[in-house]
Amino acid sequence: MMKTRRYMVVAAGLLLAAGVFTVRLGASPLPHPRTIKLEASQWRYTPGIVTVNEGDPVTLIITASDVTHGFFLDGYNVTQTVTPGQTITVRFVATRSGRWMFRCAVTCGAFHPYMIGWLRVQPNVTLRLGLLAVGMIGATAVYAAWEEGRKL
Amino acid sequence: MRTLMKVVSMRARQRLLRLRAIGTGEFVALGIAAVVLVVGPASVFAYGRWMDRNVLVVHAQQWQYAPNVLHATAGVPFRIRLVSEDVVHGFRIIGLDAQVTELIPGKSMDLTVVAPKPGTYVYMCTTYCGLKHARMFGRLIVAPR
Amino acid sequence: MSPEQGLAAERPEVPTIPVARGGSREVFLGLVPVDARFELTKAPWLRGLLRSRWTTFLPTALNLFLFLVILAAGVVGTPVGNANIAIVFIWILWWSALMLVLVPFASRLWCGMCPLPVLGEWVQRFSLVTRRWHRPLGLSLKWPKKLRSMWLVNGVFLGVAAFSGIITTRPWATVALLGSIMVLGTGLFLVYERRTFCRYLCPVGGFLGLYANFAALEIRPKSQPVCVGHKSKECILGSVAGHGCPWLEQPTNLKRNTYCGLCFECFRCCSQDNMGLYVRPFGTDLLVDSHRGLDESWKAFIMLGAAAVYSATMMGPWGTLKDWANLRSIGGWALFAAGLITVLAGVLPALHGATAWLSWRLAGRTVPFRRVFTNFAYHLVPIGLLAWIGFSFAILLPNGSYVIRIISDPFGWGWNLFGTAHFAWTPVLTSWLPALQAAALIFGFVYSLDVAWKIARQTFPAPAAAARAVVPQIVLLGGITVAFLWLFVG
Repeated sequence: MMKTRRYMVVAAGLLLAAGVFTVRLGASPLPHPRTIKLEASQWRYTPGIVTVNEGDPVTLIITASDVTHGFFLDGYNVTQTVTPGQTITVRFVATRSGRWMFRCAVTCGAFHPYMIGWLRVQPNVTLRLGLLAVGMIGATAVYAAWEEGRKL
Repeated sequence: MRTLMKVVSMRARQRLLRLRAIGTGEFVALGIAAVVLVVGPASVFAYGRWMDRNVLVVHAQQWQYAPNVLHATAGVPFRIRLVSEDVVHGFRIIGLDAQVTELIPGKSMDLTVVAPKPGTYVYMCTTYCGLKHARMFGRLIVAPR
Repeated sequence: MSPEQGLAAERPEVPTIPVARGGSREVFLGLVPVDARFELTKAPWLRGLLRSRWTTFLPTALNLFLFLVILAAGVVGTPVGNANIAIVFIWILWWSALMLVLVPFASRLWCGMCPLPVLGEWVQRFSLVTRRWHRPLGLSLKWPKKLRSMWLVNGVFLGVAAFSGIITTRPWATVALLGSIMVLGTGLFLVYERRTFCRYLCPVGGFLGLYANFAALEIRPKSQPVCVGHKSKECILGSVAGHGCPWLEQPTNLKRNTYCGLCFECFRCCSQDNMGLYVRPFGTDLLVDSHRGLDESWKAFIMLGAAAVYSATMMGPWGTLKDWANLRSIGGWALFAAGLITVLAGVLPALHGATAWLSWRLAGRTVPFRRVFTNFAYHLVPIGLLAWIGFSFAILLPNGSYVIRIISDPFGWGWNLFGTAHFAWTPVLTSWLPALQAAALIFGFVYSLDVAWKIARQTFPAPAAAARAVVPQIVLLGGITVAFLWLFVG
């Protein structure tokens, strides 16, 4: 029994190491400049989801199609106001990976607080770590249940 | 169970004969409740009326001003408080030095205006605010002194 | 007698679960014993504080004042949500405070200072801080037996949830909802006995009650033998010093937090000074096998589903969904409402039923299926509450700064009471948001697994059967956590 336990611990450790290693898998080595057109309207952004790679210089060209809106990016603290008729350019480098919400920064009507879009900066390390945690904990739980089940 | 009921009813009979005296604590509590229920709201409204004295409050909504007719006297300065009810609007009285480029919802803007000559002045929305933005205007009627 | 055995003898309702390895105490997360309790009321000043009626009256009066300001703001204040105290104080301040602090650490303490029932209770008792010895005003009818469950509350919550898009963004709607709850509540205080309204009708009370089972605070009698020997049961019937439990609970027999509103009336009644306030590990009541029911199971499904639907609608990038919730068209809203009710009251229970059925089959069908279904719903509470906590972070961090300007200009009329009216909208620590949410979810997942394991062994006394039964639950909990992870940080 003790031997099996030791093997399980070693296996779990290897799995953990492999998991942590793959968390950063898919990170693009070369930054690739991206220009994305974003349209703000009541009460959404089009497109609602923007995906870039970590390290990419991002240029967002934002227009407002109905009333004055704003733009604020979580985690990057970029704030802008966008008036109809104007074209606002927002530039930043996607240094932080993960999924960040961008939201309207100027009250634009009733659903203003929910006017949100998603910026995905790949690889999404937070998500991968979370999934890894769930997987490892879940697998350990199943294993523990199996062990428990064998003891009568 | 029967013993329980006997004990309770005996006590109840005793107590029912003598209402508990109301102490000063209850009056203090009633005072607090009076403040909360009556004095508080009353003073809030009184303060509101006091703040709004001598101010013409103009609400900007999609796509009208409320009120859309204002009255004033030539040469007498008056205050306008502009409030947006929904989106960013603008405000400008044509012919007078009175304008707000960006009226942000939730933030009121106060203007002091004086119209030297009597007549009718038009005020309108100067920031695009949707479909009927061009129809968003009102009239300021200035009477002679 | 060891301390542990002593506690078990004095507090038989503290859950003891058939233990696999002989003799050891049950622990949460391998760290904290399930029966660990720290009595706060050992401090005499706290006992004195809790016995005083001012302790309940003053916070309640303050909340009543704020609520009246909010009511006024909904009626005459600006329609702009983030400039109106009704929206900011209720859906940003109060909601976050409930989920992040009050429920996990203070059980139903909010109920003890809630302004909605107080007018009714003051009239019913015909006093504010005095115990008057007479029959309560009103009819004092008993609530119909058939309605004595959470089903009504579940229905009301679903109805409110269908309109959550409007309610959380329009001051008039917030106030219409809360104002009518107050009016209805006050009326019910004059018809039914004690806090029947709070117990069986208040939509907030529904989830507070279920999630209070996870809370780290409890009121319990200090010593059962004292209660057994004490015949007059003042805590239930009342005495000169205090009213009988307004929540229609029996403090001598209090096993779970579900319906204890922390009004401390039992502290005032008890002539034996036998009521105590205890700190305890999270999740203890989830293990107490007393008065569990399908109504509470459905509450668990509804709350878990609501966290997901709200996150998708309010924090998601899907504009069409938002339009539906915003009643842009009746058809769209009908889709939203139907979808919401189906997911919360149909799909999640079905998923749960499927895994419960698997568990039941794997364990050899030794226990009635209904019991398995009911019991296993309780381990959805930790992950549910932690999902709500994650959601609340996403409300509080970006929008909490509105509170600062609201206190100076509650109605959006251009006031500046404290000089902060021009405080700009300032999102705070948004770079921490994904990590905070993920951490909350993982903690909820782990805690749910622990509770699931314990409930499995409680339901299936044979450890081997319990072990087989818990595997589908692990998969379900893992799936739920992954879904929320994707919603929050994916």
